[in-house]
Amino acid sequence: MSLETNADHHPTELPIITGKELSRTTYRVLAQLVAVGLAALLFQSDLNHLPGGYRDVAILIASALILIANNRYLMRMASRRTHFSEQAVLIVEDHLRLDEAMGAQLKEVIGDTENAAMMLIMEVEKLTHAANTLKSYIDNAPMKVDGMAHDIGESVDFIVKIGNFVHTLPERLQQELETIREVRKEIAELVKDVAVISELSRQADVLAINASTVAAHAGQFGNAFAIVVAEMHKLSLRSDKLAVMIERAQHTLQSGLKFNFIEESAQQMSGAAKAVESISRLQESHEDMRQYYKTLFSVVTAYNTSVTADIGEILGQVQFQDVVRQRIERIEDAVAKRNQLFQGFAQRINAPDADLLELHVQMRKMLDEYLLIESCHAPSNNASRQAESPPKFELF
Amino acid sequence: MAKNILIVDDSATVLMSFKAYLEAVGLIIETADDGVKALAKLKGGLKPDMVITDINMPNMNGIELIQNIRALPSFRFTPILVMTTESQQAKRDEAKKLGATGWVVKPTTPAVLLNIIKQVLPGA
Repeated sequence: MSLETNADHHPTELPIITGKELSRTTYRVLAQLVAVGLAALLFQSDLNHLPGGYRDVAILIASALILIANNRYLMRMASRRTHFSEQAVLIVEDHLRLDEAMGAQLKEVIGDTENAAMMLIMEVEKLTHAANTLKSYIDNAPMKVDGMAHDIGESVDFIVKIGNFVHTLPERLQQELETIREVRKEIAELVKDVAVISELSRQADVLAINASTVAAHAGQFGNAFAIVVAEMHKLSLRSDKLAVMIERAQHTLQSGLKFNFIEESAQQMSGAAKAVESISRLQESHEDMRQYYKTLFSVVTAYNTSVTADIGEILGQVQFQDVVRQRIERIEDAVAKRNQLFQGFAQRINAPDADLLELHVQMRKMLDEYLLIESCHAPSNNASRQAESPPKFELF
Repeated sequence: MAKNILIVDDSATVLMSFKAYLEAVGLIIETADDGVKALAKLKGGLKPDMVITDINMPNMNGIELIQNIRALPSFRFTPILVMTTESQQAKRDEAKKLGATGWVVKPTTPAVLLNIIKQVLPGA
């Protein structure tokens, strides 16, 4: 029902008996009575000269006038009382209509708050989902990062070992070079020996040629000697071949050992030192990065935990919508009961036994019942009532 | 294994808020908005590890629901937690007598309820 329907009723246009008006009427009646009394006394004194019959008639007329005045007053009062009852009924009816209209609005309020609360819950649900996804990611991230850090750490250790090896490489090369120099000296000595071998081979070959001439001159007796000469010639040839081979090998070695890297080794050493320094810096950066992410994850985890707790609090606070709804429903119940009392009284207002005090007693009883029902429910913010209430949580 | 909880309340707000929070922490939540529907779900094969019920509900209130649940042989020992705005001792005693496991006064935060659930259902 809408509030506009109340516009059809205009209780204020009806005559209302005010207390002031009632007092004025009373004074007027009393004044009339006094006037009539005085008139009666005057009549009595003046009418004493009249014959008995006239005097009685005059007193009778005066009494009749008093009675008529009183009756008129009583009729007017009765009429006003009827008017008052009708007005009271109209007021009660308007009151009920107003309650009905306000009740409809309260129901809408409950619906609105419930819708708002549900929308809020849905939004919070999305937020919870996002927070949990993030939490899951953050929970897993340190493990993944630890794995990565372990791998990187191993790689860095390996690189450091290589770096250290590279760092010592020029020194080792220097040592190897010294060894090679020694070898070169040995080879140079060997080359000298090769020349001797070549000379010996040449001389042996010349000797073999001369010997073969001598063997030819000796004829049959030189045959055995000729065999020795042939072997000497073969030996000479093999020695010569060997000398050539040694010389070639010496050339190959000489050309191979140009020792350019000896000059380069200083640069290599500097490069290796820089590489080791870079690897060390990389190791430090890696450790810094690890610490940074560790801190970052701790901060984000703490923040996320706080967000999750806040979401829980929000969801808890949303329940007050239900608490408010229940309170309004209890108020509506009490108002409905009160309205029943009013309606009942309005219907009986003209009855001879109608008693306003009875309505008062019933209203008090109804109030006590309402307060009792309210006291059965947990108080929200009333600290003293909260202290008196049983604990909010109890396991049996 | 995730615990399954049946929440019975005539307030959509309460059902939604607790369902949102408790499912996010890994619990499986079933809901019913009055005692009749809750009982139908239990008789229909739902086997929750715990029931959480309001007291003041239409059709069948929480006290009647507890009584009916305890009459079902499969649910004689299933924990039943009462969650209501009512706080009076007489009602608590009545619920306890009928076999309720505990009493929680609304409003309460889902985190508090989760702690209570963990006390009643270790491992939840």
